[in-house]
Formats: sequence, structure tokens, C-alpha cells
Amino acid sequence: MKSILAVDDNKDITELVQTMLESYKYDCTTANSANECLDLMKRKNFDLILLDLAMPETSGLDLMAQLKKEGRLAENNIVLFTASPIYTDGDLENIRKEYGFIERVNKPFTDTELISLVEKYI
Amino acid sequence: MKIRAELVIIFLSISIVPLTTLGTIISLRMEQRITEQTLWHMEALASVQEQEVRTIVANKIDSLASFTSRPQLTTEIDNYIANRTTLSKYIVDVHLSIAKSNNPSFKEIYLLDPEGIVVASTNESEIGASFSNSTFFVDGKEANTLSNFFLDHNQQPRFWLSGPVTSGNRLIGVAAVSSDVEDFSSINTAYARFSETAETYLGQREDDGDVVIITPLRFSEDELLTVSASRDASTAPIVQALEGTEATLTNSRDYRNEPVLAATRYIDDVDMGLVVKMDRAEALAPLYDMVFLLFGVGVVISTMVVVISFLLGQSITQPITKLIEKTAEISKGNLGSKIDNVTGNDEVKELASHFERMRVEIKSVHDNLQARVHEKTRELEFTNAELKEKNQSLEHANKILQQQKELLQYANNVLQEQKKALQEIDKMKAEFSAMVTHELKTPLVPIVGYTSLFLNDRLGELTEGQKQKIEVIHRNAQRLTKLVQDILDMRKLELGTMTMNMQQVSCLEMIKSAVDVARHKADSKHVNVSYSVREGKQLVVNCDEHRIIQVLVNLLDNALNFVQDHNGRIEVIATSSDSQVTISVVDNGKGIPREKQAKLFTKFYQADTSLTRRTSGAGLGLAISKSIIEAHSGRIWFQNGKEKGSIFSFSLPK
Repeated sequence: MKSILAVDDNKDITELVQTMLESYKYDCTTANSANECLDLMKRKNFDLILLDLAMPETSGLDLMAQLKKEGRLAENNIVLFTASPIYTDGDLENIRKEYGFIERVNKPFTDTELISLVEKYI
Repeated sequence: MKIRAELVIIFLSISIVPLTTLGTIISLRMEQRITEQTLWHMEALASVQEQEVRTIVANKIDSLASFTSRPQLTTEIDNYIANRTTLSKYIVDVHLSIAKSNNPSFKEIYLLDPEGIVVASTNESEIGASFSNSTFFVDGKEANTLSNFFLDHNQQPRFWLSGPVTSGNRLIGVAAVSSDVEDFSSINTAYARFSETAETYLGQREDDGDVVIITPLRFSEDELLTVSASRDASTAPIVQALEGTEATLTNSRDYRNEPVLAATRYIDDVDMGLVVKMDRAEALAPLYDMVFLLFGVGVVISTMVVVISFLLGQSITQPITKLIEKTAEISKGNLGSKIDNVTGNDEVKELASHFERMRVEIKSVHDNLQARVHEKTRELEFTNAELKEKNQSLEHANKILQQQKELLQYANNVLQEQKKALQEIDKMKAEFSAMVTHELKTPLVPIVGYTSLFLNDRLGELTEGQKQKIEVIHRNAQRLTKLVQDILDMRKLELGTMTMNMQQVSCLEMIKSAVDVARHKADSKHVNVSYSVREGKQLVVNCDEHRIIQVLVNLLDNALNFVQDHNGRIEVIATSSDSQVTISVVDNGKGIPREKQAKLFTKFYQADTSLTRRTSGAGLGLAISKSIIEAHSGRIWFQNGKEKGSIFSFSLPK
């Protein structure tokens, strides 16, 4: 079974993602902060990481920057969640070039949208 | 130089130069002649006077000889010498007095014996004195001689006249006479009445060489005037005479230091110099008279020449001067001054008449010019006044404009401030709306997510009725999502913060993506959506892919709202020209009334308010599309369909 890590500061959203993925028979672990995410990544390898960009304290961007510094960025498939109007398409394109995330999902999303994306990469 | 002055100088030169030359020649010649003549006279006189002196000397000698040859006296003396008897005083005195009276120049007479002892004398105190060594005694023994002069005890010049007293051939004594110079005086006074300055005098050397003039002088009270032979040798005629020169002298000076004409003689018998002389001034007086006369004549002639030439010059220059005055007046600008009354020669008159004609010509030209200048000046003054008036009104207008400008500036300042405040507010609004939309979207995430799970039967089986309700929640949540997104986009476009991510994109791919998005809604309405790309499948355009897809989705969504269920048909057509790509969305819906077409692309405007309830969106779709297309330098527009329906098109530059 493929394992997926969902990271978002909002617990409702991580729970929703977990529900969606599990209903389609995926193994999903949740984390509600960047630190928690890093701890989990130390213990286990995930096939896909769904990462929220805008989080308090350490943001998704900071997290990716740290992974890049530790040289662990390439081994992880990261999909970004975003609802933020702060990042424009141009900004996201620059972030993709810098950190190599593979896809973005605009919030809100339906189960079919999410699953079709997950299926695409796993 | 003025003509008059020139004439005076010329005439004066012509008259004075020959006169002066003639006068000079004549006077020089006359001077020479007169000098010669005078010198001849002097020469002649000198000869006469020399003879006179010789005669006087001979007289003295004769007087002495007659005294010594008296028989009674010689006998008496002889007796005395031979017998040493006493001299007969009576006889001797008689003869002495006779001798003295015979010659008045005889002052004292001495008779000496052969040994030089005085035996008898008119001066009895000297009897017995011895003169044996005296020159006159020694010389007197030989012959009758006249000694050089000497001074007696009264400082009067005297000569010793001495000669032998003989009896037969035997010398029995010597007679010596002291004689004065009175008899020589006659030579000086002889010519006094003929001339003012002529005189004759005699001189003899002293032992030291100086010359003493022994005769009385006409212009000097001094007797025995001494002339220094060394000092005056060259000029004093008496010195020259005593040196033996017998000549006529033209450049001599006499004892008064006057220039004189002189003739000299040396009388060797008695060693005397004779001078006859006359002042040059007197001799040349006639010449001076003539020169003075000539000078007077010259002055008179010169004066006459000056006056005549002046008058002549005036007669020539007067008309010219008048002409000059007239022309000067004209040249100063007084053109009215008429040139007339110019008298003079024909040439001058002609010149004057030419000048007059010239003046008349110039005056007419000048008057004409003056009149035109006056006219122009008046015109200019008039124009100037007009301009002044205009200027004043312009200044007034300017003042008003200035005031208005100030007002406008004030208003502008106020507006600027307000604009700044508004911009501030806008910025706050943008930030606020960004925050708000983010916050609005977050709660929608679980709603959309969970409802989609329910609708797909992922959370257990629901009844058809339950599903329908869940579907309503889901659809409204999606609609709210779209509204929030549209508002956010609109804000971005308004603020210009939306950046276009330009890339070369295939038109076909974009249309496919947009149709895929619209497919779900089209299927639910049973509407056929087709697309075609003309002029090649590889049509590519430079644009922001997501934004153009957004525009296409908006247009398709609009079209879906207008077409009827089941019969609806929507077609997307892409065409290309050299410079642009045009994509049109054509539907067979009911179309848009003409009066509403104009406001289609404005914000919050919905063409069919009756549709509002059915259609999603806040009326921002077309406005956002327009902004996106314009940000690509493209154009978006609406056309009615051929039969019915609508055509929305946009073009993008290649």
C-alpha cells in the first residue's frame, strides 16, 4: 500500500484529505505543522507529500528550503496545496523551478480532483 | 591751407627773396668798396703825417744846430775851455733864451764841456753836474740826435736833443736840450673837423717792450697811454706799426677796443710808430644808412604785398567761402537754405548753380521721404496704440487666467491629497480582500471536499433525496468559491498586481482544457460542445496559459447559461492571420438584446437578470476576461449570431 503524508495547519483539512484518500484505499498520515512533518519523515518514507504552503511559524516554503539544504528534496514527491491569493501563477512557477514540486491543487477541491492527481503520480 | 594764406606766402616769397638777395649783394659790395676807399684815405693821410713828423723832428734838429753854430757862443765856450776863464753869463743867457724862443718845444738847455760837466744851463741848479755816462751826452758828441722819450719830474714826456759844439773840427762841448711833445700834437687835431672819429697818434717802445702813445688822444684824457705789446700785438695798430709793418688794416681794434680801419707807418729815424685810423662804424655809416633804407623799403613792399594778396585772395575765396557756408548749412540738414547771391568768376557761379540744382533735387527727395516717414510713423503709432490696447486686455485675461490657474492648482493639490488618501485606502482594500478571500476559501475546503465524497458514495450509501440535498450544498459551495475567486482576480486586475506568465502555448491544448472544465456542466444540460482550429493544428500563441483558459472557461460558462437544454450547441473556433490569433465562442442561444450589448463587459453586469438565479457568478466574468485580454494587448468583442445566438470573440497578437 502506498503511503501519503498530508501537511496542513488546519486539522479539518488534514482529516478531510485522510478521509478522501482512505476511502480510495490509500494509506495517509497527517501532520499539522512543519516540525511534525519533519519528525514523521525521519521515521518513514512517504510516496507522496501533500503540503500546505501557508502555515504559521514554519511555512511550506521554509520546509522545502530546509529539505533542499539537507539534500532530501529530490527523493520526495511533493504536491502543494494552496488557497492563498498572495502567490501568483508567476510566483508558483518560480517556486517550482527552485524546489521542483510536481503539482499544485487549488483549494477547495473535490475527491475526484484529488484522487486523479494522486493516481497520476503513484 | 586756405587760399588766402597760400597767396600771401607765395607773393611774399616772390617779393622778399630778390629784395633780400639784392640788398645783401649790394651791401657786401659797398662795404668792400667803402672800406677800400677809406683805407686809401688812411694810407694817404699816413704818408702825409709821416712827412709831418719827419719835418717836426728836422725842425728840432735844425733849431739845435742853429744854437750850437752861433759864433759868439762857440767862441765864448772855446775860450772858457782853453783858458778856464769864467763864462760870460750874459752872453750865454742871451743865446740860451734866443734858442728857447726860437723853438717853443725847448724846455731846458744845457751846455756841457767835453767831459760831461754842465757849464751853463737854463736851469742854473744843474751847473757843475756831470752827465758823462748819459746816452744823450755820448750820442751828442757824435752828431745831432733825438733820444727816445723819457719822463721828467712832472711825468711829462720829453726827448733829449743833443749835438756837438765845435770850434773848427775840435769838439769843445755838447749841447743838450730837453724838448717836449707839443709840436707833435698838431698831427692829431689836423683832421678833427673832417671826421667824427679819425685821429693820428705816435707811439714809442719802452724798455720792457710795451708801447706808449706819446701824443694826446682824441678819446682819452689819459696821457701816455700804454698798450701792452704782448696782449694786443695782433689787433693794436700801433704795435704793428712799431714792428715795422706799413699796411692798411681792416680788422684792428684801437685803444677803446672799437673796430677801426687803420694805416700804419714806422719812422725808423726816431723809432716811432704812426697810426692813422677811423672807426669802421663811421666809415661804413653810409652803407648802414642804405641798408636801413633798403630794410624800410622791404617792409613797405612786404606790407603792400600782404595787403594786395590778401585782398586778391579774398576776392577769389569770398564766393567759395559763401558756397562752403551754404553747403555746410545744407549738410547739417537745412535743405531749405537757397544758394543764391554768389558773386565771383563764371566758374564759381556755375558751381553755385549746380549746387543749387543739387540742393533742390535732394530737397524734393528728402521732403518726399519725410512725408512717407510721417505717414508710416502715424500708422505705426496707430498700430502701437492698438497693440497696447490688446496687450492690456491680454494682460487682464492673463491675470484672470493666473487666478484660475491658482485656483486649479489649489484644487489639484486637494485632489492629489485625496488621490493619495484613496490610493492608501485602495492598498488597504487590496490587502484586506486578499486576506478575506483566503479566509473565505478555507472553510469551503471541507464543505466541498465532504459533499463531493458523499455524492460519489464514498462515505456510504445515501438515499436519492439525501443526495439531492447534498448536491445543493456542493453546488452552492462551488459557486461561492467561484465568486470569491472572481472578486480576488478583479482586485488583482484593477491594481495591476496580476502578472502574466507569458509562454508559447498551443491554442488547441488551451481550448481542450477549457472544454474539459465545461464538460461536466454541458453534460448535465445535454449540450453539445465542439471545437475546431482552422489553419493548422499547430497554431501557437504567446500568452499566459492559465489566464487564457480562464477566459475561455468564462465564455463557455456564459454560453452554457444562454443555450437551452437538449437543443443547445456551442462551438469554439480558432482562426489565424499574419499578426494575430482570433478565438470565438459561438452559441445558438437566445442572444443578447441590442440595448444591453454596450454594457456587456462592465463589472457586476448581467445581461439577463432573470437568469441570475440560475447562473453562477457575480457578473464579473466578462469584465475579468476583458482585463486579461487587454493585459495581453488583445481585444475582446461581441457579435450577434447569423440567425440567432451570440458570438464572443477575442484576439491575441502572435
